Amino acid sequence: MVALSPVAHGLARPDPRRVTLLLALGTLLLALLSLGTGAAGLGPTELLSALTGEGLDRRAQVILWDIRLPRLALGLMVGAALAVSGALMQGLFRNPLADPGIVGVGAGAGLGAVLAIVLGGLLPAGVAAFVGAHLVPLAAFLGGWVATLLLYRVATRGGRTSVATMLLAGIALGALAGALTGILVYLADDRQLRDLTFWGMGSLAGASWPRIGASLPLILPVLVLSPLLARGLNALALGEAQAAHMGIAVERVKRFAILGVAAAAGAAVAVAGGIGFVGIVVPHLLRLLGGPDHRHILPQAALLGGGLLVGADMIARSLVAPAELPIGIVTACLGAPVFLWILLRRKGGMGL
Amino acid sequence: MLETQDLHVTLGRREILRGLDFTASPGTVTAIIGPNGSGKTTLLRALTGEVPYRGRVNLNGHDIARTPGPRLAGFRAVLAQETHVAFPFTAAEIVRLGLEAGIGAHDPTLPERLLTEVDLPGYGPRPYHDLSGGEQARVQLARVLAQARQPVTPEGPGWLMLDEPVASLDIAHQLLVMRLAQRFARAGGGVIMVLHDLNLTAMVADRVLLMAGGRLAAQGAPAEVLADTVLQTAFGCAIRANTAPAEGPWVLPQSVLTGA
Repeated sequence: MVALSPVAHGLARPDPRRVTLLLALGTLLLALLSLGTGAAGLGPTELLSALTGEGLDRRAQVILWDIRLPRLALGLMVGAALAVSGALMQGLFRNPLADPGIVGVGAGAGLGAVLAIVLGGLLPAGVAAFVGAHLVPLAAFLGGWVATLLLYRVATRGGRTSVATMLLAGIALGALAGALTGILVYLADDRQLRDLTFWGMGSLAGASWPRIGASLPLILPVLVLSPLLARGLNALALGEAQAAHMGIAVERVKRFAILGVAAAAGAAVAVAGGIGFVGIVVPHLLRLLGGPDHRHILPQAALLGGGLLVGADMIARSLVAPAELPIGIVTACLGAPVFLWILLRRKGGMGL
Repeated sequence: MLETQDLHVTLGRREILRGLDFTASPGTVTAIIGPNGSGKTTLLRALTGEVPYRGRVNLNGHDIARTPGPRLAGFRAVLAQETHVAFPFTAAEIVRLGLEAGIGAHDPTLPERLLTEVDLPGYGPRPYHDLSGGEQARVQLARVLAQARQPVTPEGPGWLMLDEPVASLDIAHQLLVMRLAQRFARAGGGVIMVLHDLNLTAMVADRVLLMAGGRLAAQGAPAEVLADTVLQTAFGCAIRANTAPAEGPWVLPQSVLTGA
């Protein structure tokens, strides 16, 4: 009775380890390309000579170590954080259209960051000294967390999320957070306004090792630990009740997924401002490529997200060189059409 | 053994289950029947811990309200009336979710073999969302069979709890599902299922629970429960139950018999 020949319309999934390897190689290649691209005219050949031990002059060393490498590291980190938080959020909401940037989590994180910049001075000295440079990322994480919790409460009933409710609630949350942010900007003094402007530029231009150090403690654990949620998120794709019957501790999976989304998206917003659509596009491409299994999607999203953002940053830097576009514009131009495409071709599963 | 004591469920302000006491034994198929809105699905959802209830539900001696989900999942699998799948999984990937939920090792050919058992040979690589309703229902059944692949587990008998497993199936596949349920019971597991078709019930059930208005209107062997007056009272329509020799009862609406 067993049919050995492949049935028509069957899917041959590529070997996930091979996909991961290819993504890692591609990201590495983009990273090297990005290191050799820039306004200072320091090209790949000079960098190669540095690797072969001929050494760089002082100026080239500063460009490499203080400008290009931190920017590359920030791009990889933020891209990975955005893509993984998108994948986690889609698993949590059982919906491929959930993205922290679109449904108000980014706005909530932004509100947290602005709160920290404007009102951070009111913190007791002990707390401020203890938190130090982590204040803005932590506040962004808390803002994103509250937004995710609210959104989940509003949009999910009995374990099912209505896309319409989710998107509309996201708009409302984003508007509310935007209004509160506006009030804070109004209250801010001149020095804070300068900080806000700097922060709000939403690009990788402000990359520095201290900035990276301030956010890495929030992002790295999410990247490393999120695959532990993979089995739970896979089961959750059949609904909360079904997942529970399959032995998944559903409430725990949800709690950790919400924390992970807020930590990664919040920290990314804190260091790089609002960069949209990476969280939508990356998991969607990975699902098309190798299927929706979260055990593969989550680690692969970190690789592809990092690579994609580094690539987008290269575009942002070279289109109008020597000036540069905000990277959010590039990701939106690439990502918004993909979002619409997913929206239009959705079938089966859950309707609007 | 499945035991309930004074089982009540209230959803909103409506009391859906009003005090149910019964037992079901491993090695048997128990069918839950009754008119629409009588509480069949709610009963099944209470037995699986999906809705809050008062009273007790014991499964293999464990109070299910106090037993961790992963432990229950090791000896009990549940098929819902409908399952929506959020992402583009293939049929084999869905079945594999069930394998991961069950206990013990499994080999990679098992999804395809289980799909063959529900008459979907070679369907493993097909996208779930491209399948017909009846095919999707059988993929979900294969997933549940994957989770409950041991009718007798180290934790005692395995249990299958199925809510209308044949609702979207043609008659041949209805019979197939009934055979699979029966085979699981004969191998030492317990099967509880909600059914609408009284003749399928008569054919496959060892025990019948007849629900009406949130209570058990009758329980017992098919021959006792599937009787004219019992059914007529519960369903509120003229119904005749007949007995074919050695084959148990069969049931028809009276209008069919009289042509009225």
